[in-house]
Amino acid sequence: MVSPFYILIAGLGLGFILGLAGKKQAALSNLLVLAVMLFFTAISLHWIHGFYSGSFQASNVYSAGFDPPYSISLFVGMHEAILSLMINILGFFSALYLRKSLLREARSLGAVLIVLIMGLNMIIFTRDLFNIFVFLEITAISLSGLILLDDNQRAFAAGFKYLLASSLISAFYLMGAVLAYYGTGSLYLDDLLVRQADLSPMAVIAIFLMVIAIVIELKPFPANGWALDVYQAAHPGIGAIVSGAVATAMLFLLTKLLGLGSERLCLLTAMVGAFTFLFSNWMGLQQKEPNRLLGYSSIGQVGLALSIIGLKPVLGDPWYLLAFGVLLTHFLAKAGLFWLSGMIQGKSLESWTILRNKPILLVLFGTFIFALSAFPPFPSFFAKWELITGLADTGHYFLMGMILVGSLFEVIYLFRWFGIVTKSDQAEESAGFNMDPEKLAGPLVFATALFAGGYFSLRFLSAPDLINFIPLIPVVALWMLDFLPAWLKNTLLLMMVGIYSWFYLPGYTDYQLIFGIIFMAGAVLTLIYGYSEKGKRPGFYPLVAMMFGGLIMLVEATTLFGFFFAWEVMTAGSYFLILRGKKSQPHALSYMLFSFGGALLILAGFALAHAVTGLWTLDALVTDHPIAPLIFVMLTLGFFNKNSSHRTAHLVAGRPQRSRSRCFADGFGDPFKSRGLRPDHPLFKDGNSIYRRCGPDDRTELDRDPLSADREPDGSHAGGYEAFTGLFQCRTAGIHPVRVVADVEPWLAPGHFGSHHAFPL
Amino acid sequence: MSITIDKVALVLGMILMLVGLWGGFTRTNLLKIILSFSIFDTGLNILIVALGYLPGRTAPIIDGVVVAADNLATRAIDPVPQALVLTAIVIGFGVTALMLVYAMKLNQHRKSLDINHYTDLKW
Repeated sequence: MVSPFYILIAGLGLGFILGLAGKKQAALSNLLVLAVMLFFTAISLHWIHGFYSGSFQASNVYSAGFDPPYSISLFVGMHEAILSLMINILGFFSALYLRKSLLREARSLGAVLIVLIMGLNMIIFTRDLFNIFVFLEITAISLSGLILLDDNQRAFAAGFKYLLASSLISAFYLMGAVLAYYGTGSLYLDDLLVRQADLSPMAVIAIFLMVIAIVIELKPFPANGWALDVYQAAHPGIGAIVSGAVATAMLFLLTKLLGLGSERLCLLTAMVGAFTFLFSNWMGLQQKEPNRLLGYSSIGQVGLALSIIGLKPVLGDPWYLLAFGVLLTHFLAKAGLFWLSGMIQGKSLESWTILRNKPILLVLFGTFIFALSAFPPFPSFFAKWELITGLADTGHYFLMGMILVGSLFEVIYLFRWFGIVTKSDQAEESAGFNMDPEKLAGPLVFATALFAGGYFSLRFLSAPDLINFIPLIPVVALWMLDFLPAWLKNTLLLMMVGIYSWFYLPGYTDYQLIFGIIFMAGAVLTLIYGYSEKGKRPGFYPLVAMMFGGLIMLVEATTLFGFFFAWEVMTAGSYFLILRGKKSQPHALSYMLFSFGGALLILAGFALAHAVTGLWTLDALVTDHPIAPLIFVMLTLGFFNKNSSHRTAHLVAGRPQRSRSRCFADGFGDPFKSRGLRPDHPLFKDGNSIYRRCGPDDRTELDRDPLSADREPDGSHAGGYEAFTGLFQCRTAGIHPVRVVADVEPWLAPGHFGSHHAFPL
Repeated sequence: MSITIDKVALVLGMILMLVGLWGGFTRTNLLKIILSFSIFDTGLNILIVALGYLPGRTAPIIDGVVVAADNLATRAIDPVPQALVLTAIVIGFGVTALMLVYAMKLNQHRKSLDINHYTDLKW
């Protein structure tokens, strides 16, 4: 096994040599920086391969031939190897991303970047308490040095604050380390772990000091202004490193130190993390500057990971997989978003609207936003499912609530941003764009890694993995065939629906059969209508296939997890369908918020149902446990939240609902069929608005189609289906929703479908 | 309880740390903030040395009084805290130097060392 000391030697050695390089060697220095990052990455890959194949054993490496406590000990196991790989790959792509800036501004900063990545690696490997302090300081100094890369006063002020704060934190950590030595006579972490049972009060205080120092280093709410400024003012390439690599190293360091702490200290950390997640996301709601918004989101996500690490005594063994799922998603998505932000000139959320004309970047942006919002198939989705069910199992309802509410806040600002980028009318005209192919490499690789991470996360689920992915194949197929004309794609999808119905419907029984027939018939009707559309309808067919796929998966789901997975797939599909409509931004956002809020309630309900029955199948919903009514209320609210979201969208947008009959009564004619109006009619429709002619070229807007979002032909099918979905699920659970629902939502009672919703049947 | 040199140093170290913290939080001049940080750091270093001190012993240097194999363990004080302090002093030097670079850069941009003049981002 290659010794981790090679990373130390190569980092310090090359860092020192590059510091001496002159201006003429700038290009060569840059190449060397990239080469050394590749070297680090290769070492990490070599370890992972060795551990995976069983040829290496996790082991300690001691410096200078002495045993601890007289030497420094570096420990490398599978966890260390994976985390160092993450940091080194980020280091490589950061070097690539910053290449031109490094060449232009200051060539010796390449050396500082190497020292920073080396320092972060060492924080992961080292088992010596004092050595940790040394590398904490090395990373703080080198990071502050890198912030000098951007020659602007805001970055300098932010860098100074960062340096001051992190030095003070390190000083408190040092005090803890020295007290630990005073109390135990050793600085070797493993020595302290052995003596954990009979630590002196002095050592306990020391551990508390060290843990709190590292928790503050992770920027908990509200002690995080110093780090937010770095996210906002420093070069986005640096933001990516702080958000991704530094957080990764610090979280792992905390994991090592918390091994010494008591259960109470762990739970305190968990509470700090959960509060940070909740309040950072709350603060994120008010942000208008993309990088500061990303800063709040970063702090929130790290808070969530912190919370999971603190919950180690509660969650038991799977805790590290959950923490890793959250961390990996945050690491990949946030680095990607910071990198994208470096390509966009403009400091407002609206300046990102320029991505509309860059399909690849828009897909990357969407991938990162959906991953951060914990949608399938990203690792965060699986981690959140496991976390919430784990918390419900162990009765930590308060933490569960905080994390669910924090997730909702996060989704609100992320999707508001996504809506602005894809649909806002307020595109910033002056916003420029600056992209080098080398800058695109990192986001592309990281987005791919997010999908790969999701695929591997599925293996670690504690719930049985019985998801049928076949319904999602048409989504991929139609996405690849999106260049074909609409009628052809329509026919293809119709055929796929037909084939699926032919083979699978006969196997269904009972309610599965009823709802299978309803969904399939609805799909066929929708697609028949699709023949009236001309052109290519870009993007429509993969999305509608995604929605159908989600519905089929709902019918087929036999486990709580499978159902929740399908629910989220359907939500994503219908969200995009609504977003495709004109002027749909606020409606799509409300739809997403209420759907996601509903999904969180369903998640909570499922988690509680599993907690009281111990079952992972949908049978868990049939229970006579005292909290069954609560579960029922949560699920009902969750299911119908989604349906209400359509109506509430209009309330949120501040527009009165105008029913079709009212339109007729007002003499507007049917606004939704106004294509049939005569050319000389005083009223006419353009887009989603009704106008009155005032002159040859003049018109007054009389009314806007209040249901524009879900009345758009493309988005018109979401609501009604989901009403049925809710009913279906209640039926499966052996309850009678219609009776209950008719009181709450009379318009949903039988016979009332279609009054506001375009239910296709 | 007798007053010994290590206790004096311990109290002095703590006082210096508090002075440094107070200065760091109350001053608005960048140089004074940096100076306060240095005072805090010095106080911490004194505290560490004082914690490692053992009454009646000498420096852990092998010479006429301390002979390694013989009486190192009984005559010399613990060398580890002193080694730590040496490293901490070097690191403190690096941090202070970088802070001064920042103060210089900020001063070049706005000709001011007062943090109230750098409120573009919240302090």
